[in-house]
Amino acid sequence: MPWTDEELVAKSIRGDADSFNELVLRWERPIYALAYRTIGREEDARDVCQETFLRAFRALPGFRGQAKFSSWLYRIALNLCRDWVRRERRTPVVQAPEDVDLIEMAAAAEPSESIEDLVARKDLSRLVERAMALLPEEQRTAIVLKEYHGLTFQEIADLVGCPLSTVKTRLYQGLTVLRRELARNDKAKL
Amino acid sequence: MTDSFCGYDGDRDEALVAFLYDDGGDRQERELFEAHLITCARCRNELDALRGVRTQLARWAPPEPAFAVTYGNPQSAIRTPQSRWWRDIPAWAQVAAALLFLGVSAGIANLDVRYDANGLSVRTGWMPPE
Repeated sequence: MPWTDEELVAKSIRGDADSFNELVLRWERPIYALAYRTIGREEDARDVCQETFLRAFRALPGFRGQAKFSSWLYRIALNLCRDWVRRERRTPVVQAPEDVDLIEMAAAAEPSESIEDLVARKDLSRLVERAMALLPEEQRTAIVLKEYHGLTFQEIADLVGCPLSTVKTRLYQGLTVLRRELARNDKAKL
Repeated sequence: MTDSFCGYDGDRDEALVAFLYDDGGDRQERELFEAHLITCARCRNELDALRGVRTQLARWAPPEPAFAVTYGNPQSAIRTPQSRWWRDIPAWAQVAAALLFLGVSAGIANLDVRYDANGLSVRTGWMPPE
């Protein structure tokens, strides 16, 4: 039976570094994905991810379990992302298509997937990324937390500190912009 | 009801999103909106479109993180770049290594390539002489 987050947190607070390592291994990918989808830069997302765990480690003795450990981590990561956006004073950057590495793409392909399907999948991924980059930060954050991290409306509201109805409105507005942008891209392809 | 008119008695946008995600909430409100959908083509169409957006969103995968964070000693966290060492080698050195490898391989195989009146022939030391 694997340890729960809360048990690992308790052991970490008592000085067990392996337990904290286990928490890192468990949560580094979701936190990295959150950071990447929020700020859109791989390198900076990695930095945010690392800084999130450093801050979490330092603040661990003060963690009283009022919230889930994952929510607490998400909050730290989101604050760091917000700082990044403010510091850089810009919207998320979509990485250039020339970054695409065909060898990496081929390695990422599903065994049954043709290279054409793979390219189409990557194209769509890039289109979504571009459309997401157009959204205001709060709408993007709501969509990322809902779509990719499966948080409830209430959890998002608690995390970002706004009323439940605001979360729904942000989601609706964000999805509506995405719908328009993705449809525009579909038309452009015809 | 037409496609452009919606007479939903409540916050339509919120109800639409709540229905789209089926995220707990008020069961009665959900049933109310579900009943409304039967008669409102505009909401039905928008719901379908937003479901389509969600399908597309599912295709967005962030790049694989090329790092591993280890906290053996958490006070001095180490970030270890994943091994892509061959990318750090200059291109000329990679080409030189490839040519050297081919040369050595050809030498071991006693490769003999000829192009004459009979056309192209390739012979190795492993083949018996003609």
